[in-house]
Amino acid sequence: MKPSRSNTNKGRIRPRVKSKGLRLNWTSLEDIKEVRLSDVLGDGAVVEIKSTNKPLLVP
Amino acid sequence: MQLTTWGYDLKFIQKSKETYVPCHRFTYVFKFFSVKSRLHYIVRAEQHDYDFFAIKFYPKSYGKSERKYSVTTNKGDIANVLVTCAKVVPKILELFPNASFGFIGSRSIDFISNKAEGYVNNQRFKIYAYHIPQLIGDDNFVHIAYKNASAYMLVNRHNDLQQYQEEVKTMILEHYENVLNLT
Repeated sequence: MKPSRSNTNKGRIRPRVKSKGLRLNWTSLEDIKEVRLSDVLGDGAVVEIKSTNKPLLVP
Repeated sequence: MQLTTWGYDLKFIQKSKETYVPCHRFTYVFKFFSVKSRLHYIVRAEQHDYDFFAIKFYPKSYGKSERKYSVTTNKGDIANVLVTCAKVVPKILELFPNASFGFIGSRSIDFISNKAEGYVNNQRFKIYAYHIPQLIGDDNFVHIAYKNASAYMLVNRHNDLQQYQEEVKTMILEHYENVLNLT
């Protein structure tokens, strides 16, 4: 008796991985609301950089 | 993750006169090839008034897409791509020693589920804010993070910080009020 060639489900089973938008609960493109930069920009925060930091490109 | 790569060679292409808003003067266009992802990238340093440069980059193959800044390639070469893009800073500083820089983390779009990321502290901003201090120190620049808008600014220490920040903010808000909206 010849061995069956279709002894795997590889081609039939779809991976059950959700896309990133679903996993992270992003907003649907249709539901996105407009935002004005002036409403959210604020003053910003100065980033403290460690004295041990050795930058690769510009000191 | 500590950056240990040196990126790729960044080649200058042209100084483009193409502008979109009155405060935008020129665009310095660069390119590089990512060996790992087999993608060509375009890097744009858009010169504005006050010697403020907005840095943008995208894979060349998405150049005609309106959403080229929101695409995720998932090729796994982010460290090299980031380091190479940041090489624009010393190149521009050679020409404009007083230059300051800014960038915004674009909102990612998941084209499979048609969903988009929020604009607050998004994934691109987190990566930039974590890695930029490893590439550019604070001897020449004051680093300012705008978490709520996913924006980051490097203010040249030759400028008065408060005054310069206000001037640039006013300019940006006047001309780029809708920059966080997806087209």
